[in-house]
Amino acid sequence: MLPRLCNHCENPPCVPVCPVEATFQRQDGIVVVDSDRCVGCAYCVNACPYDARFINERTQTADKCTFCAHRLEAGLLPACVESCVGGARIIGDMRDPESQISRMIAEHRDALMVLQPEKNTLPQVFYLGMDERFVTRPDAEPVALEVLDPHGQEMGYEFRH
Amino acid sequence: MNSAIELLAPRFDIAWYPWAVQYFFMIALSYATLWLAAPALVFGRPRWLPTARLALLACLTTTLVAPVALLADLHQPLRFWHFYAYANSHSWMSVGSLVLPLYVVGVIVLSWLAWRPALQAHRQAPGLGGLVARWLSLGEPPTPRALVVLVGLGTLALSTGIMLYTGAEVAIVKARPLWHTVWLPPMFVATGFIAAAGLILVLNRLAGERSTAVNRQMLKVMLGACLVAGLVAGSWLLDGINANAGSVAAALASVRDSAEWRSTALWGGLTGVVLFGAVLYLLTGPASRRPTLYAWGWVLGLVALHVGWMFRWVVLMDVQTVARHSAGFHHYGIPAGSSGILGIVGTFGLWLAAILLIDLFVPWRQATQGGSTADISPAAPDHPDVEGALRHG
Ligand code: SF4
Ligand code: SF4
Repeated sequence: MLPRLCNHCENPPCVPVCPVEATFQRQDGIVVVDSDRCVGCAYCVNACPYDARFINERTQTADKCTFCAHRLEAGLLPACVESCVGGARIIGDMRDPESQISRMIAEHRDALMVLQPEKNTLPQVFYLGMDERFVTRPDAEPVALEVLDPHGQEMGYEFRH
Repeated sequence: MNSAIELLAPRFDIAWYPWAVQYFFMIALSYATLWLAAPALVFGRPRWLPTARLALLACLTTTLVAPVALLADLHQPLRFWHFYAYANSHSWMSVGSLVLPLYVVGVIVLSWLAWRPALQAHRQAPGLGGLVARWLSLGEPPTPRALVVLVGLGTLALSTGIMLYTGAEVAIVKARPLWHTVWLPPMFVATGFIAAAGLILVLNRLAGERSTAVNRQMLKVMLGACLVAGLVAGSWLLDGINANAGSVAAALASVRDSAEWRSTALWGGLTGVVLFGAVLYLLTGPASRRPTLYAWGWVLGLVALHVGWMFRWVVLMDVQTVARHSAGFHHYGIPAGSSGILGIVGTFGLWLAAILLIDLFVPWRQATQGGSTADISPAAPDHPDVEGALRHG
């Protein structure tokens, strides 16, 4: 299982393409969308190499993981960090050298991986102990075209590598 | 290889709908037909006047329909004014949103100037036609030639902006390696000219003009555009054949891994070669058989339109089905509704309606390079034989 979320890239290709500056990088590095300004042109959806963006069917504007910015502002952890029973997700302020995240990054520097580093997006989501075949687009054979969830909704395709 | 991994790749919807194909197709026809109208209309070559008449009809109608398709591709079309309130010079789409309206206005004014003398000649016509002609021609004063040239040059300049921005907008997207190549923008332009020449061949037949001069000119343009397209495709391939990343590598991987991409590549290659061969055959055939051969020009025109449209479909739609972050290809079926079939048919329907409306109310067959009513031959208002000598059945 490889959780894939918005990498909140330091050099986000989704931002400069937006024709109305509806998506931007905040001071703290989090990349967000102003859904009141977004015209739903989906240019950013195509420009993100990580499939992190989509057009929200309800709002008809671009949407993506926000690192739960609204929860961070209220002093809470992002929902995925809070609910991960294995405690596998760690978020923190990388600019504070004393934070847990900064110490971990220093400790594991050589083992950390980011997705598609050759795209020069400088992802800010780091993976520790990831199968290297996920760094770039995995080359795999389809085994089942449609995988359904218990409610009969299509979840995706299955591939074997 | 170490242990096998199993992947469950989510299905990602495409982000740009077939509306985008319609826009790219229409706007390419628009700028290419503008350039085909230019020799007579702007640069004063009378031999090109019959072509210019058909080209201008094609240019104005596609220019009017293209922005509709573009607007429809926005998920929030009513917010289009945000483009102007919050323009972002870093975004090619934003640059395009500034160039496009100027270009559209340029084409409308140029068409009006070219058709005005003919409209003025129709002021006395009975019924609705005369009323529209009186209303549209805005008075009696002659149309200065210099004004036609000036507006023409300005609009041609703006059209290069359209060529540049539509190409660059797609080619800068690193996230889709197949798009990310400098050869994509020139290929859009080359296939645009192939399709535009094809459209004029078809219109030449449908509008009953059947001008041999038009056929010959358009076949030559098509031959040239096919050659350029072949060169561009060849350079793209040679440029990247040895790279293990990038546009060509991604294309080869797609062709290797997917039967659909294999048949697409085969179809595209075959159609291109057949079209080129057929055009060459028609152009080099013996002069005595020319009228018979040229009579089939409209069939090649349809093939050329197919090439221009399919290229855009493959580039804009099919490329979006290549997964970028997971394995394989996403399945995409064209939906029936307005984001799919209905949108495609609707755009073409709107276009047809625009052509018919103009045909009904505007004596476009008598378009001139400027001047006054007196330049329009009143003897044959429906068949102005300015280029009579060049016309055959
Ligand atoms: S992962 Fe995609 S959406 Fe998130 S910042 Fe990077 S490019 Fe933008
Ligand atoms: S979909 Fe919205 S956020 Fe994305 S590029 Fe278009 S306007 Fe900007």
